[in-house]
Amino acid sequence: MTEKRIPQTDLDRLLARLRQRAAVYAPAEDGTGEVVLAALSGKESVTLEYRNFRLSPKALVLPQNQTLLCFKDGQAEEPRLPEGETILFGVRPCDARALLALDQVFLNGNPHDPYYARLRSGATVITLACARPMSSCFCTSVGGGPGDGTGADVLAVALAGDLLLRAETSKGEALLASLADLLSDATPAAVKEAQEQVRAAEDPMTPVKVDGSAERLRQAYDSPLWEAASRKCLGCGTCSFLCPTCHCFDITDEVRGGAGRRVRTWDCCAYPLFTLHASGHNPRPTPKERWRQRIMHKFRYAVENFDRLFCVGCGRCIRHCPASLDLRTVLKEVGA
Amino acid sequence: MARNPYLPYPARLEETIVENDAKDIKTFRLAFDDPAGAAEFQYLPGQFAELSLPGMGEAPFGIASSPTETGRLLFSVKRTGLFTAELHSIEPGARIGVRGPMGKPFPWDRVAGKDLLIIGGGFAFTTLRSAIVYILDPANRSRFGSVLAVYGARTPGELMYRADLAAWQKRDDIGVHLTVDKPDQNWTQHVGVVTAVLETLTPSARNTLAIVCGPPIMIKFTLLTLSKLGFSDDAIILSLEMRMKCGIGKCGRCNIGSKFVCTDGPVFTREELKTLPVEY
Repeated sequence: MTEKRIPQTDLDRLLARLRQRAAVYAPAEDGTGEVVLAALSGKESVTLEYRNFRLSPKALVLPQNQTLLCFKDGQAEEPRLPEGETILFGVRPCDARALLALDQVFLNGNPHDPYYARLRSGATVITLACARPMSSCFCTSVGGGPGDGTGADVLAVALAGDLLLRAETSKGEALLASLADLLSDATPAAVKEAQEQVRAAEDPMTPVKVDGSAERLRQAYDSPLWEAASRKCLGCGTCSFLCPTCHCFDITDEVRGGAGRRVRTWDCCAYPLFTLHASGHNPRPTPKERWRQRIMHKFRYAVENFDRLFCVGCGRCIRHCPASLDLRTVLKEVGA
Repeated sequence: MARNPYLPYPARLEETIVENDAKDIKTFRLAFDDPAGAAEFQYLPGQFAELSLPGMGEAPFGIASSPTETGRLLFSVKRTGLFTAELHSIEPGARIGVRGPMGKPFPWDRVAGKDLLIIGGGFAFTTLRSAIVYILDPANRSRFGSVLAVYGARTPGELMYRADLAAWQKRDDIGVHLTVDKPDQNWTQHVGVVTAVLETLTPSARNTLAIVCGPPIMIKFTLLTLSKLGFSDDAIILSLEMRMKCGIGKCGRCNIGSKFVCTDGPVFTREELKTLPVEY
């Protein structure tokens, strides 16, 4: 496992080099002053001062709207798949970890999803360890951590002056090798500084008990707490859209004249239409069933199917819920 | 490279058959444009496929034909929404996409050597038609024991596949009992719900599997009757309806508990369903 370092003052040089071979996404302010994972054109000023992005990077492998087929003269054709490579710099550990959940759905199934597979195989992920978690963060409770390199090709830690870079995969090794002239070997002192920083970042997070959640949720299926917990839910779908592991989608046709496309679009199990049958029957008719489904899918069904929680503790659903619903509270209340 | 699972096989509508007096159920006979597509589309009764019309979307339907009916691919569809209304209005020769076959078929390995009780209601008889045609095929018939079918509809005019039903009733290797809620003056067969017919026939549960497809209310009461007749939960085979999109276990729409109806189903035993939340 290669460990290298680069002075932070050389970050722009590093990113410029990466831009020669790939489309690079990195943290930069948008027009409103919010730090987003921006497609770099070279004009942006990249910053390492951010907690996490409001939007998870899942759209870069599972776009919010994606063409599945093109229609021409009433015939369906495969669209041309996007070419080229992307490098995602500055993704937080929780979001990189979430990519493995998406991989489970789109790559490890039979059949593979060719659209996801193309974007995913073209993406190289450079994770940036967290120094300061938010009050809504709970990654350490769901198997991750502020310095977790799972799902990353390279894990970066921002030290006082340097950026420490550690290869996590062979793709990451190759990337660091290609940048060798910009990098120097990591010193033991730098490695120690990184470890201490990560440990300090773990401390403020309040643990949420998820061990054995699958079994406890099985017992809690009929709990009256679901009704109480979902009473405030507006069914707006913000939680799903911001969630880095939520991946449910709709497929619709958009056609004008004889030409158009079949497109997949993010969808959400909190929406009443999600399961509505053509007959009018709805298997999950009220927010209670729909809210329960979302929690059950992440903390029970995914565990039963893939032995993996479909929650990475990023806390977006907590931070951005307009009704202040907090899945940590609900997990506690239902005894999960 | 594996075929893109979202790309339908191009096909054309060959023939439309009106199935009921209300004229809202039609059977569509399709033919693949490409012989390679026809060769790849290998299915067994109980499976389904996604039909699509460019611009009108895509929807899942049980396959009504049997693979033994070479060159005849049938889907029976009730006009219910936008897509099915468009399907009901297209003319022979129109282009239609077919994706599939999808899902698990009826458990044919388990059925071999057993007697079969087939119970259907309303327009949920489509994959049951496929099953019966498959069983009665001369190449298959000897693999199965006795076959008893009970099929109910609201009125005689709502029974589907009436030519097939009449032909089956002339055979001595299958018993076919038809029943309606409201008879007309020409009706000479059973009157009443399928459970009433079952209670008259009292089929034995010994070495028998029951396949049940129908509206939820029929299923509910049929299951009670089957239990009384001694059918174990593992001997009762059901097929679930669920809203679907991708049909390949990714879009999440047909998820019930840890199962996906499109890939783990749509065929489940009653025993399997008892382990799932009742979200169907």
